[in-house]
Amino acid sequence: MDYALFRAINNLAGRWPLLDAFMRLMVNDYFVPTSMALILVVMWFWGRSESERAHYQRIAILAALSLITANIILKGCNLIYFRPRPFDAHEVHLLFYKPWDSSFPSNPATVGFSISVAVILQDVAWGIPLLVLAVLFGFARIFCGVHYPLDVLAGALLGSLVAFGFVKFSRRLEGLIQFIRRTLKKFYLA
Amino acid sequence: MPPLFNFISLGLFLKYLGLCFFSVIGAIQVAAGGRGIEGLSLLPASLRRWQMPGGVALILASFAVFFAITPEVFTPGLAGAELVTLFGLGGFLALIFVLAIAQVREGLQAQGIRPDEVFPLPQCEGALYGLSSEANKALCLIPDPQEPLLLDGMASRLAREGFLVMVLHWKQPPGFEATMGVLALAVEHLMKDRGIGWVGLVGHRLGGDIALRYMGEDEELKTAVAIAPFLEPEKLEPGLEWLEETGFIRAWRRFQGKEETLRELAPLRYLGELEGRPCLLISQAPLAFPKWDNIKTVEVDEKPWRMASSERVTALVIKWLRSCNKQMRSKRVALV
Repeated sequence: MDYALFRAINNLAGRWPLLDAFMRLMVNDYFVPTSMALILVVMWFWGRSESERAHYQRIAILAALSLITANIILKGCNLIYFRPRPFDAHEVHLLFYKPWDSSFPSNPATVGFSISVAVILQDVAWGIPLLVLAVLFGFARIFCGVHYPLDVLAGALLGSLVAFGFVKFSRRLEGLIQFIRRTLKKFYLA
Repeated sequence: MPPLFNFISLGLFLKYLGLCFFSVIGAIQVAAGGRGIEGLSLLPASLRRWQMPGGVALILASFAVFFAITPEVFTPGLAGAELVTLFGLGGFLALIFVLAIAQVREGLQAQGIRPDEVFPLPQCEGALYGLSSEANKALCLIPDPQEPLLLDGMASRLAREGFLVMVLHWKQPPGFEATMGVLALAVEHLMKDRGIGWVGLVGHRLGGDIALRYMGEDEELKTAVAIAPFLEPEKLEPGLEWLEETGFIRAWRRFQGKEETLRELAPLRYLGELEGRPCLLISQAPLAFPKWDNIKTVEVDEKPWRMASSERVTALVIKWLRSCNKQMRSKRVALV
């Protein structure tokens, strides 16, 4: 089923040049991560009052912590389990370069969902554009032939679970969050 | 052992660093434009409406240029650690750049109104306005010690209303004792040398706290107006809000030494000792302290430092001073 779904999505590649161009923009290692980081930068400075600033900055800090933790867990998974890429085993429409690391779980999906879920659980308005970017990032990896749907699903699940954990137990991190904000406040940046 | 970072090539390193640098500048402009943060703005206030679209345009242009000149985007490139490092570095440089430009832009704004006369005081000068009129009421304006020139516009306006006004131009931030000493000399000059019986105080920011405290010390004073006073040292801390109205260096200077002086002034403790003399407190947010009949609080939707030059705040102060004067006259009539 995983392969059948991969086929259905990947077969869309190469038909419409505009769609291919859009997916190539989404799939690369720079566009989505940088855009997400920029949204967090805007969010950091967005609060009008001290309480609003504390709210947004707390979300940004939790999103960053969630990203770091999800990446560490992902590297651990990659050490334990190696799944070949779709282009290693099948004939695919490849619109991207051939990554050599494990296909499962998807690194971009983990990154995208660890940030976007951490934000959307605390602020829906800011979380929606991030979630859209994360979904597009994951989908483009299948479209361009570098991941199976199950890889993306696992990455999304991993990122979401880590983000959920951070939001759920964020009170235990209050000391760290306050320390980061206090330190930046001394430089008039929080 | 493999190197800690692999930036692939110097070209890719510089191109991605450039993308981060320019796009973070754009992102900061979006936030600064949306929230009116002066200390992070590249554009002057008159062009503020262009700031958000300009920031978005800068972000889009940065991406467009990066993808146009970087064919390596579709080859094995930077990994997560390198991306995070370069984004951090680019973001840091962008922040320094924005803070520096905002500071330089602010430094170009000139200000200055000539007083009618200058009266020398220790650690400060008393700039006198309204000497040409036959004033029988005088005001001592106390600016924040870190911003001694901010109240001159208001002083000139109050002088046109018929007041003799002395603005204390602090040469350096005075300690608590020196502040009280200077105020005593200033009030004495207005009352004895100039022969004016009706003297009030108007203070801005820490000057407002000074005004409230000194009002408690001198029973001769008729009223005090505190514009955006701090009141509580516990609530005073550095942060982004200090950049909302000014550049980084000026914000840093404004904050210096406040906490200690405020602790010694303890204006809230002296508010209850004004024995019915009227006071006006103007602030951006509601103030929380016990209610006294003689103390009126007004909230004005303006940023605290800008209140010094605000037409609306000046009009409020004038209205308040007129009402105080009326009260005084009606009391006198009742006595007669």
